[in-house]
Amino acid sequence: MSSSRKLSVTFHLTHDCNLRCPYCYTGAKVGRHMTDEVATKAVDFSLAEARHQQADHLEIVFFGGEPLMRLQQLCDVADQFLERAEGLRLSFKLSTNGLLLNETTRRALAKRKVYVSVSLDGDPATQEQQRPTPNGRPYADQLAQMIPEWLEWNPCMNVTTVVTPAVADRLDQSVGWLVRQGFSYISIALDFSADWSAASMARLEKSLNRLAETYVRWHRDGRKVFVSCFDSRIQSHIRSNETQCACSFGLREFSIAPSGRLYPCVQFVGDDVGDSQYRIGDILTGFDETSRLSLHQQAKGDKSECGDCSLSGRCSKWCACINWTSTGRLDLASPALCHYEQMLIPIADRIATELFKKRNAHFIHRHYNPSYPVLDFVENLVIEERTQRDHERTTHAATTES
Amino acid sequence: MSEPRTQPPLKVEPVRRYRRPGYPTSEDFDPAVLLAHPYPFSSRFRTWVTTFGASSLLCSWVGAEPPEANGLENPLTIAKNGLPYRSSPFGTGMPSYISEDLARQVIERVFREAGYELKQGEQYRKGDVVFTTSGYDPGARVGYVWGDWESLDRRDAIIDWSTPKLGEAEIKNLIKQEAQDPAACSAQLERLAGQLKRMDPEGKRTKAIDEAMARKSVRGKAETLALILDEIQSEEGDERISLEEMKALEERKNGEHDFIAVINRYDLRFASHGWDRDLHEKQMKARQIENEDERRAALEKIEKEHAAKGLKELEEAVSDYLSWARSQGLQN
Repeated sequence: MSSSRKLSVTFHLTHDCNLRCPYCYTGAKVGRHMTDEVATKAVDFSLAEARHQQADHLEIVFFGGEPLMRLQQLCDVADQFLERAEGLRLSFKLSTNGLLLNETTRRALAKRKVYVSVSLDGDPATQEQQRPTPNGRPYADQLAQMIPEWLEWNPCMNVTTVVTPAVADRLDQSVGWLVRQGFSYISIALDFSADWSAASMARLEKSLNRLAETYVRWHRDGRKVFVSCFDSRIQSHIRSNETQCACSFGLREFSIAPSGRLYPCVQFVGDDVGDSQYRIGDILTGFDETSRLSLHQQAKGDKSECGDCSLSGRCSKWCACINWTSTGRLDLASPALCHYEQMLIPIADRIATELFKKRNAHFIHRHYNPSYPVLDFVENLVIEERTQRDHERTTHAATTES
Repeated sequence: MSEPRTQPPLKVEPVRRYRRPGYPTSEDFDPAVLLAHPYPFSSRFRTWVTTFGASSLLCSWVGAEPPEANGLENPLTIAKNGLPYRSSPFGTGMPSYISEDLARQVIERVFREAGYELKQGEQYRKGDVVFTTSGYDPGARVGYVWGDWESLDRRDAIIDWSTPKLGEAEIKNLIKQEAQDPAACSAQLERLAGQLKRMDPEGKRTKAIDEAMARKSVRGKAETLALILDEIQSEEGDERISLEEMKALEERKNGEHDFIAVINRYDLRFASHGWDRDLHEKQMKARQIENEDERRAALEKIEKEHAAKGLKELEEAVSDYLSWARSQGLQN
C-alpha cells in the first residue's frame, strides 16, 4: 500500500452533455452548470479538506455530464489549485467523450497537465449504437479524424469502454478495434445497472475468452497493451499478500455536484434534486459527518452473502457504486458482479499462467518488477517527446511550405 | 435522482474452492527471473538511448545482458533445440519423433499465415555458409531447415557411432593395431571402405576407394580413405547444415536480415514419449486396411492424434520464432 495520503475530489462541472448514452448514471442532461462562485468555493473546500486530512497528494477529477462543455471553468479551477496548493502534490484527471477534444482544448489541458481519459465503446457502429447524439446525428467520421490526433498528442491515452448486455458479444472486437487505432491502455467497465442475465453473461464470457487469446498474442508479439479487466485481476493474485486499496467512499474521496452538494462517489450525484439519503453535506456548511460515516460503514461492511468465498480478496465487491446500481443497496454484493468476477478471474489466471510459464518479458516486468512504473514512464516519455518533435517538425514543414 | 433498475436474475454464489493459479505472488517470485529476462524496451526507445550513448548504463540498470528487442526470444536456438543429436542404436523408452510430413504441414502453414511464400529446396549461400533449405522465401529472406538424418551435417550436428571418422588419432590407432593384430586392422579398413561406398551411392568414388585399399601401407590406405571421406562430407556439407553454420546464422554474421529457423526433428519438445499400447493397437488395426490411400490416411490420423501435443508445441515455437524475427527486423 502506498504510504502517500491521497485525497481525491471530483468536480461535476455540469449536468449537460453532447451525447445521450442510455446507461449514463449522471442523471438528466440539462443545462445546469457549476457557477463560478460555487467553483471557487469548491476549490477552497477541497484545499481545506486536504489540509485537514494532512494529505500530501490532492487529485482533482473533472467530470459531468461532459466537462469539456465547461472548458473555461475547468481551466480556471485548475489554475486556482495550481496557484494555491502550496506543499500539496496536485494531479488533474478528466473523463470525456472526446468530441470536444480539439487542438485548442488539448493545448489548454496540456498546459495544466490534465490527464485525459476518453470514453469510447468500440468501433463506430458500436459507439453510435451505445452513445448517440441528442438528435441522432452520426459522428463516426468526426471520431475517425480525431482519434489519430489524440494519439499523436498522447500515445498513452487511456480509453474506457462500457459494456452493456447488448454489446457483450462484441467486447473482443471493440477492444481489438481500439488497439488497431493505436490505444494501448484500455479500461473496461460493465454497466452494472443493466439487466444482466445468464445468457448475456455467457455471451460476455465467450467474448472475454477471445479477447484473452488476443491479449496473449499481443504479449508474444511484444506489443504493450493494458487491458484493465485482465491486468487488475492478475495483480489481485500477485499482490494478494498486500492490503488491497479499495475506495474509501466519502472519506478520502468525494464528489462535488454542480450545486455544491457533496456525495460519496460519482454515481450518487445523479440529478442532484430534492432530498437524497446519499448526500453527505455541501461546500458551504461542510460535511454531515453522521451521514458520511454511516454511508461509509454501510458500504464497507462485510457482505454476508459472500460467505467464505475463495475469490473474496480478488473481486470488486468493495465498490459501493457497483453494489448500489445493481441492487439498490450499499450493503449487498452485486450478483452481476459476482457472476462476472467468477468468469473473469479464471480467464485472467489462465493467461497469466501461460505468459509466466513462457517467461514473457513484457508480462514479467509489468507485474513483478518494482521499477516497472519508472521504466514504463521513461519509455513513454521518450515516445511522447519523439512524437511531439515529429509533430512539430511536420507542422513546421507544413507552415513553411504554405 | 434516478433509481437503479430491478434486481437482475443472477445470484451471489460464493466459490468454495479455487485452484491456486500457476503464476507466483510477489512473495513467491524469484527476482533472478528478471535478470534472465531483461526489460523489453521498444526499438524506438533503444534507438533513442543509443543515440545518446546511454545504452550500456541502461543495460546494467535493468539486467545483466543487453535486452532482446521487446523481450522476445528465439525458441529455436542451438541452446534450446537439442543439437547436436546423439543417436543411439538401441534402447527402450525412446521418444516418438514427429514425422516430417506432419511437421512440415504445420511449419509451412504457420509461415503461410504469416504472409511468407516458401520455395522448396532452395540453396542458401552466404560466404562460407552453404546448405539446402527445406523452405525459403527469398524476398523476405526467411525460411527453415527441417533438421533430420538427411539434412544435418554428420560432422558436428549428428553424433553417430556409424559415421566413419578418420582423423589423425584414428590413423595412429590403425597403425598401432596393425602391429598388434594385422587381421583386425585389415578388417577395420575393409569396414571403413564399405562405409564410404555406402555414403557414395552413385559410385563416383568406387574406383578411388578400391585404389586406396590397394596401397601397400596402412598409413597410405588410411590417409587416402580420409581424403575421400573429407571430399564426400564436404559435398554433403553444401547440402547439409552444420552446427558451425547454425551458429553463424544465430550470430547473423552473414547479414542482419536473414532468418532461417533450424527445426530439429529430434527436439524433445516436439516428441511424444513412451510406448502407448492404445496407439500400438490402433496402428495395428489401421495397417490391415487394404486400400492403400485409406490405410495411409488412417495411419496419418492416428499419428496426428498421438502427436497432437508435440505438433502444438511445434506450431507455437515456429510462431514465436517469427515473432522474434520480426522484432529483429524481419519484414512482414
